[in-house]
Amino acid sequence: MNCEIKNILIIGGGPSDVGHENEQDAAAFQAFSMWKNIGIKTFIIDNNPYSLLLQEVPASDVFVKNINTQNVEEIIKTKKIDAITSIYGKKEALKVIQRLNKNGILKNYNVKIIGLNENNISLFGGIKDNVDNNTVLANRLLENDIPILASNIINDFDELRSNIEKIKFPVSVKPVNPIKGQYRNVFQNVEDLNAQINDIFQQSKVNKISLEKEVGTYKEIGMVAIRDKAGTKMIISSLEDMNPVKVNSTDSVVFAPAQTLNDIMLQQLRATTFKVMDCLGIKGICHIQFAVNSKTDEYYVLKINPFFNQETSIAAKATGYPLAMIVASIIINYSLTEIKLPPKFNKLTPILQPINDHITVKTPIWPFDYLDMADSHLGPHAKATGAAIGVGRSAEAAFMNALRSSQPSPKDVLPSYNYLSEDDLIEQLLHPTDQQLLILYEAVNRGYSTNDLSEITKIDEFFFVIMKNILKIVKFVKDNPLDPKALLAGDRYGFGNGMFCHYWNVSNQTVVYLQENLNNKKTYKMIEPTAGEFIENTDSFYGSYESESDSNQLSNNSALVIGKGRNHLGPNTAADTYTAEMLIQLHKLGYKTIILNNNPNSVSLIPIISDKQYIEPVQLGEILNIIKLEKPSYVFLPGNRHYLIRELSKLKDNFTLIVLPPDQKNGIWNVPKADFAIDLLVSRNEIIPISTVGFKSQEDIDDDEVDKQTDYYIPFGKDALDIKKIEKMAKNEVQEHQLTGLIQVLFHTNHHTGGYAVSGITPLRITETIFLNEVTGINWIKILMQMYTEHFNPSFLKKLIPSIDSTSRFAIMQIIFPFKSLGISNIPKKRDFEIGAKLSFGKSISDSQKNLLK
Amino acid sequence: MNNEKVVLDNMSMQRALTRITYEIIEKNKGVNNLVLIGIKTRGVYLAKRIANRLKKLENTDVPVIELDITNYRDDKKEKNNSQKVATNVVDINEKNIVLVDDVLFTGRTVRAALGAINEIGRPKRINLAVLVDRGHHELPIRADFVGKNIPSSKDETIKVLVSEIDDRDGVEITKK
Amino acid sequence: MVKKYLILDDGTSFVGEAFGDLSTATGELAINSNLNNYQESLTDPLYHNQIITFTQPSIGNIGINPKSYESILTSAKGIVVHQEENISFSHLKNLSLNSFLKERHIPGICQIDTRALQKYVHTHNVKKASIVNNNDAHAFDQLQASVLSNQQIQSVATPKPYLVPGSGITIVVIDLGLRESIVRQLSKLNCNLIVVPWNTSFSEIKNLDPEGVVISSGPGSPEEIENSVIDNILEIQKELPLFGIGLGHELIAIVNGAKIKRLKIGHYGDNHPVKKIITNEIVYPHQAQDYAIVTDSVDTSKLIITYVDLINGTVQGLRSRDYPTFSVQFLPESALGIENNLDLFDEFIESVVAHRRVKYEL
Repeated sequence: MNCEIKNILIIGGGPSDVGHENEQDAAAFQAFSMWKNIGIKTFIIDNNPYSLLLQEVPASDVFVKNINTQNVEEIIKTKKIDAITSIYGKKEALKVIQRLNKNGILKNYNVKIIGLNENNISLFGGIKDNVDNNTVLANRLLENDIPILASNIINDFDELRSNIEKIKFPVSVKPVNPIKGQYRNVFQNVEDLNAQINDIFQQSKVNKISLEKEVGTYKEIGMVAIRDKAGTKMIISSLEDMNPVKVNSTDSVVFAPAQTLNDIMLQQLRATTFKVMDCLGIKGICHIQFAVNSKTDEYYVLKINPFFNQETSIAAKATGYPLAMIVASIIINYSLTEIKLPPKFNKLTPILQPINDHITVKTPIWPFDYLDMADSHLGPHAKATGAAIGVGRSAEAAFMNALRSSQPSPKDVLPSYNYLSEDDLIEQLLHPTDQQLLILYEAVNRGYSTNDLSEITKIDEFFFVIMKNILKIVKFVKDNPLDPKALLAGDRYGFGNGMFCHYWNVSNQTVVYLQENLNNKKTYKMIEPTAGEFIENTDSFYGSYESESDSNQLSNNSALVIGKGRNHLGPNTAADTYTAEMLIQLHKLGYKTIILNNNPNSVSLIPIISDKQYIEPVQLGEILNIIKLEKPSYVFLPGNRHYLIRELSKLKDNFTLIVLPPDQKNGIWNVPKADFAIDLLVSRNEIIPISTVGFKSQEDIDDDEVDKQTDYYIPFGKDALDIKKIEKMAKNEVQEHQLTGLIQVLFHTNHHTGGYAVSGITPLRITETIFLNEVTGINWIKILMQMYTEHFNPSFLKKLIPSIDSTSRFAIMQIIFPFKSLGISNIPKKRDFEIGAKLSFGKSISDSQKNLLK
Repeated sequence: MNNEKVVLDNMSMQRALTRITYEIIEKNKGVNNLVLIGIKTRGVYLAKRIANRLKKLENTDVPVIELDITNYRDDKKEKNNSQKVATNVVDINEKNIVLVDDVLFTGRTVRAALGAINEIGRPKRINLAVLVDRGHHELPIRADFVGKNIPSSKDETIKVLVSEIDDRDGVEITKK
Repeated sequence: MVKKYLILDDGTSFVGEAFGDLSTATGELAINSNLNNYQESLTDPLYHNQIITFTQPSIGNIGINPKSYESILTSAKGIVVHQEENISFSHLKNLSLNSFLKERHIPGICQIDTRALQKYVHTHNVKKASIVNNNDAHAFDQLQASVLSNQQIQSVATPKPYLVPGSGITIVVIDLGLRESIVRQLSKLNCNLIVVPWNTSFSEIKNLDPEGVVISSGPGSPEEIENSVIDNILEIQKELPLFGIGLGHELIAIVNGAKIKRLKIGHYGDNHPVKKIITNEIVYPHQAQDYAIVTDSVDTSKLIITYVDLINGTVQGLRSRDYPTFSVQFLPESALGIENNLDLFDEFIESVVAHRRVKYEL
């Protein structure tokens, strides 16, 4: 059907950042496996070390390079690329393809653009990608009667005066071609406008301003849709932001499907979505953001995103529709009726428009626990660094599951704001921060009417009714300790075991005992796209308390991997890729793999890399229930979940508990300083040195404090280094502490004497493990999985290890920070503040440093 | 500002072709004895689309003859005798013919086409299908199947766009 | 909290809680998978005699909206949901679903595992169900013995003709249980509508001098309809452009010799791909059907199959070879006349206009 495409180049998403986790990597990975099955080769250019594609695509097809026109052009010239796509990347990817399209390179080398095409690609990614800033796109939409917010350019005060009567307040005013930044100013009336209008004119390089209807208080609705070559269009899911338009969608709680729109509006948005895709000729995926006013039935298209993003991830996770696999087929010219999915799917799945019998809620995860100096107010600029979803049979249960997944408490206890004064509470309601959900909760709890709250916050009353319902049950539970009816009511609304323990002051065992004696036991429902109409065998489940469960024990030889859940700051995306690799490797070792996680953007929840997925809060009660049903042989727990490790260690069940990925903070220190280290693999019988690694601080080149070491070099390129001596010192250190697994022994050089000494020993950190994989070409997570499941062959491994410190290849991994996105500066660049990283290779240190920038 | 006005959008145009297709089936009691003749250039594309639709409904390939009537127009002085009149010619004797063109205006094109058809055979019956009938007929010619009647003044131009050679489907009206 | 049971005619029962009206009810079980169109369904006459189960788990989120009625009266017998949201929004001062059901005397049952119910119904032969206070033998006996009315159209269709004025073409709509969306669509195209009772004779219709006739959707089995209606349609077909929807489509099929079967499970949702044969386009229309045309019984010398459901293969559209008559099984009209891919009303009006040309020519 599509013999002309043999080689596809994916332009990757680059390092993780605010509003960007692994979602594009997860979609690209599924495309890679779909294309592999039909004999199409995938090439990838990316400099994000934590990308799963970089781990799984054969090394010869991976280009670890910065995403820019020159680098992509080079690949096109040297490899026989037939097709190129930007839908798995960010704006850089789009821009690169736009340039290569414009300068004729793609045509010269016969490279087809897929996902978008040579005609429509230039429409996207203007100065700002809102439709109102992109005239070509805006005109195309207006020609097709698609409602957008048209801006009105005002050239001078004369023109403003003659138009002043016509302005409808509130109005949003922006300088045209601004001197710096581009902030909108919203005015409620003409007096406010007068007070500031002179300044806004002056902020414009050309002394012009642009007026636009202000829709900040409208509902923000997303529609995720696909369209194939035959023009068949399907809505995958509607998404409703709890917050109005003025809060960035990344920072808002999101419900899927939309909860507060009537059929009339839903159909209108659906028809408009289809019309947009038709008139722009989109063949692939599209996420459209709308501003909707339910009181006046107005709506406007705000933004058109023809690529994978966090919203498309939610739509896929919420419906169980194999979105990434389908889109991968559509863009290489399969129609929906021609797509063949892996056998576990019903063969009708591609053409059935997804419907749900559950509700999915996404909550944002914040970096402010670590960066409390940043302004945590919610607004148009995204600040969330992660997301968690809750799935439930009611809006309340989904909401509670999401809320529990978003909170740091290991014991399911929600923080309380009952100490806030009325004034502070109202201030917080008017100007929400990252703590918004708990504040709203507190306000409902204090008896504010749902109607008043809706007026104050511009959040639809429905969401307050949900909170009110939950609080009613909280009270019922509190008032009726140990009552089975209260327990069931709480369970049904997604309360965690920890909440019952907290309210009733009992142990988890007591709660479990009570639950076992309920008539309604914990059940699992399948997340599948037909709402029970057809028999599907998708592997994703969520918890419920109902009359029937869709989930049975998977196998008597299974491994349960507990995901890390929420991504705030630190090695998040790396940990997620680590977890994904654990699943892939365990499966290869013959285990049936089960993952428990709740991050919609994660690669570890990709349906094809595990045999079963539970989307639930990563909390004790949920884990125990899964263990009870699945009876796994192994349970893998992330090292930073100390409470869970303690509790699960107590169990006398028939499984082996393994703590992985390790806790990054588990080091034993002589002095918390280091400038280089050696990585080793330590099994029960052997210590195998792997490589040296050098550290540098991005702050101050002479800073030798460990937590400021944010550049990593392999190998540590000092000529005079006595490797034998270092290995010996390291082995001694390992034997002293009796650690196993991947271990790093750190050294500190005395700048006066030039001598060095061991400064500490730690389990090899998550980020550095992935880095080591890429440098050595050996999958160390695979080795760890072999070691922990008794499949390890050390002599075979020794043959594989490349001779280090003498190669001509140098690698650098450089941590990047979210400071700019969060609008903060002068923050020390510490390991704890990491949000992502960049990777580069070179022939020498200076060469790889150059490549890091190029 | 440009002075083009869309009088038939993409969807309406598809719908018109669909309806004409059904009407052809209704009038001819099936498609067995049917031959379509498209008048170059756009009439051919429209005829092919109708044939395509007939194929999907009746699973029968209805032949489409492409007719070039440049040499038959009475308003053209110079004739190019080397030019072929028709391509894809099939036997049209005793067949039901549907002649397809984009716009019916003065009727001179249709008369020329009838002349040309006479040279390739003697059909049983000829019907005329046009996407747009804009009035101002100068000859006693009527269409049997009409996509849309668009009253127009003589100083307007009606342009049928087909995505095969234009960038989109639709009918536009322009003031001269 | 009042306990209620949903009992099925094969002896199964589900326990839940009462909401809406506290009465009991017996009806056919219809499973609806649409999002947030509970009000449209409850007021759509084609759900007459039915107990509607919604697979969407949270129902009532937006209360009752004055623009969302498909008729002012309610026809459904009962409603089954997983969770009912008892919300009334003060900004619209509208009714909550719960109050609406109470006012209309429609019992509801919630806290039902509707996913389990949906899966059960798809694997077992269930037709009738009751919402009752006790699931004892007596209740099951009564369910078994109950006979649902076969006078369904008579119960929901208008008894008197009325006019919906417009400046355009005059169309007669035969009301078999009319959804207001059909009126909205035709009004949007400026039609001058005359809605007539189901049993209006051909000569009465003809005397109104319409240029086209629409036969509406409606409840129940097309085979229970009086023969006079069939004879009427036969006459209309010969003289006037005719468009049938839902039940109207089934009747047009019967008039042209096709047979009707009852589906094992009715389908109420918009997730099925339907192919438009003439162009190969795939659309996702709103479907609500318990009956379907037996594909093999379609006489292809009289009718052309124009739309087909790609999931269950049912005939979704027909067109006469001899007359300007066509029909669809699905419901092409959407709320408030929103533009969609299903421009069948435009198609109908254009066919009326084309027919007018032919007529004047003759």
